[in-house]
Amino acid sequence: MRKPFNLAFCPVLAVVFLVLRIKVKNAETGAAVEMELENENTIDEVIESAATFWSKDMGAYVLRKGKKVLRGGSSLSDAGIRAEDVLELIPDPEGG
Amino acid sequence: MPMTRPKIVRETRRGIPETEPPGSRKLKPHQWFSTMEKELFEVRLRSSVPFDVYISSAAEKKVRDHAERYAAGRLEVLGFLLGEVCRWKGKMYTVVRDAATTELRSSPSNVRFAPNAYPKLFHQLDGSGFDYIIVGWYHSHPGHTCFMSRTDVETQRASFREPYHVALVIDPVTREVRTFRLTGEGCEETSFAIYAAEPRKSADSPRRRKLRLKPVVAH
Repeated sequence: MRKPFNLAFCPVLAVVFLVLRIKVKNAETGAAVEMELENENTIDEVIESAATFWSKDMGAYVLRKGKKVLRGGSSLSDAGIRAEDVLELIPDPEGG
Repeated sequence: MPMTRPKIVRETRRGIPETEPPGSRKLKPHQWFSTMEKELFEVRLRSSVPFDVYISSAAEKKVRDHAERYAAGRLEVLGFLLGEVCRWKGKMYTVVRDAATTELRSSPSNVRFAPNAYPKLFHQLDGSGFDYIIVGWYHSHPGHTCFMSRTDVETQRASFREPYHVALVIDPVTREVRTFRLTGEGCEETSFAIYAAEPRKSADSPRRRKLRLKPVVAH
């Protein structure tokens, strides 16, 4: 069976399909994942992917780039995310 | 071409350094400990078994000041505990070096970060001056004593599930403070000591810390 072609290894096709790679840090453990995605993927998809990978509830987190909170259904391009950006998953705790 | 889901290609985990905890001469009980709690503290100190949590005097003061500032209005406060995780002679322990918070949406029985106040929180995280881990969180129960409510346990389960994650609960009215961690059933109280912090060493720079990262390929 043929192995699926990885666009990230072919710069020309990667540009055509706008594959970009970012890093998402887990602020509570110091771990980080490298993630491949497209400009049209949403912030929610990034949070969901990272939360699922680390077996977390995505609703209990916010994602940040620098001092800015990244929210909801906006696309990566709309949120100004570029290749090699480092985002951080931050807990959103509630005390009672 | 249909859009694909984000794909995780690699994970990097931070190693846990083998580091001796702060020496007994630098340790003291919390100033709000009762006589019995102070006696238990002394017993633990003499046993040479490490405490579960070491909190810098600077972080402890930040948390206490924050809780006391809102105590008159009986409003709860909330924030993050920043630090690192270490191991010594097979036992893992948590070091809280700093605390960070921002404006809150708070009542006498509930507290969260205000939705538009995250930039200030992120500014404090970036200003901590070291490659922090959010090793836990603190919040106050003004006048209600220190325990983990159902909401608190849910927060601990959702976001602070590692064995080193700490929940610090402080009551500025009854002047109590306790630390907890998650267990299979709920939360249990853990031991903690206050340490006098040394000046920051150059080895703590983020660049030096990166050298300790261990790459792990994602499944």
